[in-house]
Amino acid sequence: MSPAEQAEVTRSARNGWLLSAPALVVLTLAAIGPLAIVVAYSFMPAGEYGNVAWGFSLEAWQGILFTKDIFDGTLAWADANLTIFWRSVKLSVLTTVFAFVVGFPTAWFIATRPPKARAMWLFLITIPFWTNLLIRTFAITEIIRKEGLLNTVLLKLQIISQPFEMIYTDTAVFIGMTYVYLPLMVLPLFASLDRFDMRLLEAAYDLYANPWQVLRRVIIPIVKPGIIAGSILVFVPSLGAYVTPRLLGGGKNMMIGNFIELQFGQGRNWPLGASLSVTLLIIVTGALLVYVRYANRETRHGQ
Amino acid sequence: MTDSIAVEARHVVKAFGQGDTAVRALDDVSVNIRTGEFFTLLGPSGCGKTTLLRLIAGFEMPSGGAILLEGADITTLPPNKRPVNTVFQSYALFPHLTVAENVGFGLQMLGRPKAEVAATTARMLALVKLEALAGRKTSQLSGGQQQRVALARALAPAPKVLLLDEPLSALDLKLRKEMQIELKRLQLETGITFIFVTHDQEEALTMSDRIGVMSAGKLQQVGTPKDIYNHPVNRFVASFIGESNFLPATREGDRYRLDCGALIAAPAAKSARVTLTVRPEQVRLAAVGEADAIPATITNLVYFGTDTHCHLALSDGTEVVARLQSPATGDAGLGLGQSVGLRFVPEAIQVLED
Repeated sequence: MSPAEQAEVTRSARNGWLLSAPALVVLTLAAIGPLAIVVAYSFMPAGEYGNVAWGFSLEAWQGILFTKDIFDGTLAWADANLTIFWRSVKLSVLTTVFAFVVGFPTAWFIATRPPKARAMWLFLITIPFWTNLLIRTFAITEIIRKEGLLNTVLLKLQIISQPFEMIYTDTAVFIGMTYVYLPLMVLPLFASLDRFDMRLLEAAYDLYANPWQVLRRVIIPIVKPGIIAGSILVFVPSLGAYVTPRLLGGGKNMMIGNFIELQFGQGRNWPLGASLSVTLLIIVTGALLVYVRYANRETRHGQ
Repeated sequence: MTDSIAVEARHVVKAFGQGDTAVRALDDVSVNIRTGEFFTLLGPSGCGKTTLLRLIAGFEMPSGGAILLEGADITTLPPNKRPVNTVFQSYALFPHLTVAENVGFGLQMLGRPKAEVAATTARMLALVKLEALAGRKTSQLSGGQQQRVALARALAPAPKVLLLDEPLSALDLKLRKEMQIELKRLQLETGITFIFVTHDQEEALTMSDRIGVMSAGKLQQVGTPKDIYNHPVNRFVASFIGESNFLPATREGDRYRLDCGALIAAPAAKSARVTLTVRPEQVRLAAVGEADAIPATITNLVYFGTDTHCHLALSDGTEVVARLQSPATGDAGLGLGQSVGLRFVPEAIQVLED
């Protein structure tokens, strides 16, 4: 390479960095900045009026799993916290699985319509996004509360004699989250199924596969990227859900999101809130890593 | 080849759509396909040949009639219950599986033991000469290789009948010629009944034991390639397979008078008004005024290398094409507008009753 060429390469590299500098600065500040503050807060002692005090403390991290006895300072398992973690993970997994069970046939139905009808169905799927999440969640409350639509109809039809106590239970939260996040499962699944070559169904059917085998051995392996994307899009916001468990779970059936909010609000324990936030981040990252690796191994195994 | 029947279609009707707008893709088609033969369904696009194949495969249900496999009625059996496999026009290979897994898929679905699946897969890959590519993904293969995988995949479960839906249409000419020979070899080696769908008459003539010519949802003629080419039963068959001259004629006793006035001997017919058909290679040029020669004028000469197509006009304007072997010197001594005499090889004249 001649010196002139070398200079040209250096200059264009420098220009590239200069041009992207504003974006890089904004990204760094917006993405890493707040996260760094949260991580820093989690290692500080709690301040008296809710904020943090200067210093270093591991109490917030201890507080995730243990409670300290006020009098003798002994540590005990924080059962309430563990219950909240367990409920969050359980409900998020259930939501993801159920969203897939409902979302897959939906996406299949849309992908097999003629092109014009397909656009219409996709449009209908996105309609819930037009309304505020809060309003939609209240609407669900109207349906499932004790004197709500569901109970009234079931009572009138004499299918049940006592109204269901559904609201403010885990079930209510699960129903609400499935409803809210279902489109996030349907859309990536549809994108995958839309590209799926339907002629492969005939090929599999011709080669003695029964309908179940066609689904398991041909359709699901091929649309797996869509399944992974949809599951991530549902699982991640489910785990951090705040509005839905707050409104449908009442005060008792908290999820991690509500628990974190509690620390920053009434609990006045910012460091604990911060350490819980970081924990949530770790759970999500860990779950995704395990899931993606598992999904990929499955693909390789199939090869 | 035995005389037993592998596939029988009995008065098969297939209509798409309902009521007045219904289209009859198949209109009362009956055919017997013998065990071990290479049977070709030939016809232009939209003639119903692929529909008939899909009915045999089980992808479509007939609107009427029955389909029998070795004497058993399989009309309502789903595709996965029919011992029949298909090579698709688009190949339809499974993109998430390797070449070997694609080939073994059918046997696996049949629940055969792993060792048997592996052994048969290896044998099939050897049959189509793809042993070296067993571990590849199908997307990494060329069109010709994908074609071979599709063939091996369909042959692996040892079907009673192999259905091939225009499998060579996506290949370029050279590869297509190779695959034609390959297909014929596979058919002879495996002894499986092949039902091959194509719109390419040359493909049909070179590969088939028998051909079924289809048009407008009807089977026009079934016969050996020689039968079909030399004794077409109607104008469609005569014009679709090879080229033909059509000469309107009127019966006069045991001979036929062409519209230009010439009198020609030909096989007997029932109708008074018929069409005589002669292949261009069965037309001979003669000197003007020679006995029995029909006077004509040369309107066009097209040179094809091995032969020259000489377009002639009879006195009434009827066009006749003569295919003349090019002489060694390359010059036949013919010119546009020249008056010549022409003669048809007597045995080559076919009579079509209109």
